[in-house]
Amino acid sequence: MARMTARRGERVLGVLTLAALAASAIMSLVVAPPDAEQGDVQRLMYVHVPSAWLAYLAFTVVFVSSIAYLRTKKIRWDRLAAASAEIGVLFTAMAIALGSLWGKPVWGTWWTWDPRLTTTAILLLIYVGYLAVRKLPDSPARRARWAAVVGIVGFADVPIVHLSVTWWRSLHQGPTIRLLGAPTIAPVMLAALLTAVFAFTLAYAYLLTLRLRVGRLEERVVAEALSPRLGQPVEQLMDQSPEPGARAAAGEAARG
Amino acid sequence: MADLGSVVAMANLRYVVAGYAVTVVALGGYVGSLFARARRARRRAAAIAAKTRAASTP
Repeated sequence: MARMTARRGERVLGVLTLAALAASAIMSLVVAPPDAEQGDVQRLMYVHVPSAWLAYLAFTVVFVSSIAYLRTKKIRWDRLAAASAEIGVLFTAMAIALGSLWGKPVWGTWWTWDPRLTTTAILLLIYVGYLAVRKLPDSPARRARWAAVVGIVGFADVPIVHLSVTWWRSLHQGPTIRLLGAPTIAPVMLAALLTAVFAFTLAYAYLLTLRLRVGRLEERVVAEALSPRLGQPVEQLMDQSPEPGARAAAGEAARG
Repeated sequence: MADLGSVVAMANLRYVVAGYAVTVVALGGYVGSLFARARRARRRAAAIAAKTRAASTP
């Protein structure tokens, strides 16, 4: 049954997220020193980089969930992909807005058609399109399948965004933290950045939990309306796969 | 009179304040909208369930 109120775990995660975000704000605004060249404006890195990282993470979850949905036809994968895409769009928009605020004093412009910026804008458009596909007035099965296809194909832009600064000549700086090799910033700045990435990752986990619960509640409204007409219990309607084949197989299994 | 360096530093600080404000508003606004959606869905589900119960009661 869809939970009407937040579970204890969700509340604890919310409190932990708030504490981590507060610690991150102290680290990035008070503890970390200003940059030698850019001064205080470089502090925007501690919100811009984690936002971009979370966008990558959210769209990776959409990609994996979409593959899982197409393979298993289980509704829970479709729900997870929908929830993660919405949060990914939020973080991508934040990364662009924060990058723009950082770009104005450093580059002298709010926006430029640089490879990193352009591919990120395309990424945002792809996943706004993904959310639009989810709103199409079509059969739930076809809508879920189309969304999964867009979620898989659209993910191709994520590595392009990440590698754009090394593939093309870009105004945007290269990666600050590399998998191989030493980071290019001072240890105290690195600590502030890692704290911010951790806090934002917790925020993603909390938002995902909350968004999944909201999704279940919204499905419950539809199931409550359909239940008397179809003569099926609300819970059964909610957990049914939208795919007719999977529904028939579930029905067969229940009968057999 | 303030020197050019401190004027630039103050101007740059405005971008930092705006950036952190954007972050707080975006995250807080999204959480708020999710709570509002949950509240609305809860009310609608309860209203439909009550209506269905009333219709099925002889």
